[in-house]
Amino acid sequence: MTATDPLDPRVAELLSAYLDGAVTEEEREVAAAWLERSPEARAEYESLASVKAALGGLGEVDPPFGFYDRMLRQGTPTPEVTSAVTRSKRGRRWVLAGGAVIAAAAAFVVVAGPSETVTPPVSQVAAGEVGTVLALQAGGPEARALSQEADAVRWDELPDGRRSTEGGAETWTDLTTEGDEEHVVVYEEGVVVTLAAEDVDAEDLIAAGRQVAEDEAADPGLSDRVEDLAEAIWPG
Amino acid sequence: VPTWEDVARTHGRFLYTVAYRLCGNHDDAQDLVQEVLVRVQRGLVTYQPGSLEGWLSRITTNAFLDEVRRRKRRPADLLHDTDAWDRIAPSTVAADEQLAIDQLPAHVQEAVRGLPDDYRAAVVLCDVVGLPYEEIADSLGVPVGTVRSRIHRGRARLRDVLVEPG
Repeated sequence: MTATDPLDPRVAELLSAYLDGAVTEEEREVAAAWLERSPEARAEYESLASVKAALGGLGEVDPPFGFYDRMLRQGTPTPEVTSAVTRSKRGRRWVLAGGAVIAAAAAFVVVAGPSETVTPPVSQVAAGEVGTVLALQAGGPEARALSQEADAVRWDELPDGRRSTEGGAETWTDLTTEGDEEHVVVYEEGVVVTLAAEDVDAEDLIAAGRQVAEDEAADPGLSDRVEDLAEAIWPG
Repeated sequence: VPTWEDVARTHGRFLYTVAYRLCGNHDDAQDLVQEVLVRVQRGLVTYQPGSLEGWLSRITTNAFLDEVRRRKRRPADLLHDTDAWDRIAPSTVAADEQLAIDQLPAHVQEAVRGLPDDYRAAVVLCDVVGLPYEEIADSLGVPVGTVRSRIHRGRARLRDVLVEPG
């Protein structure tokens, strides 16, 4: 061993373990000798210690608001599927958790005909208390009531909330968390769209609108209006 | 034996932190936490009196690696193929190098996320959770020597990614 030898990867590994105190007495002596005599060993050790310190400094991560409370209220951590649309729209398992959240938060039927649609309070959507949902409420006093409810939420006081008018549609948006969660309520001409989703896209919304329009023959213009809304939310 | 409700109430933040550090994103972390709680609820894991956090870390890591294996039945991603990484010797530092390591949490987390899954599990259990090598070996079902190698290789890789231009 000399100070000019390139550092053997096995020595580097020993120094890494030495950093954790995970060495035998004999290894400890060998590591200490390297550190005393070899600048390469010292540089290696110091850089590994910096990495360890950086990892140790990461700190704790808060779960999303209400994450555990929902499970505890529901009485089980097991997700249940409540939404065929959600399931087909997004195949991943965590989407099903969204279904469970919906079941717990409100008896919420996703993309049913207007007469069947039960929407969660907009305040819950705004607070992120409901999971992945996509709802349409077309026309009538229900839609108006929902838009009034959205209007009553103090969106501007939410961490990243805003209220705006896009493409003629009134929108209330809360882009929360460090992920890409998005809570949006849109109102236009008697159609209210409520979204609380990570990656709902325009095509899903349009498809949902078509489905509602098919289910509700009395409102043939709904599909077009939903398409307009999708364009307002996601231009292009 | 703690119930899943106990775990959620008293160690929810810790559990979520481990899950998030392993997964690197909130969606998968939530999935993972639910899976852990399901395992606790169904009695699929045995608890021996001792560190509850160590126990939770082991369950979480096992559930994480189970999911990783499940996903790997799909076409392999070479970047996350530990065997491929094992064939490359980890870097070392020259004597005259004074390396500054980027400590910004978001950058560190992103770098951790880029590690092969086996390395990431070992590094997280060691440097984030603070488990001793023996417990990590027990959690991962590998010899202590393998744990030592993975932790070192993981750290060396993180250093390469996080080193700030001097």
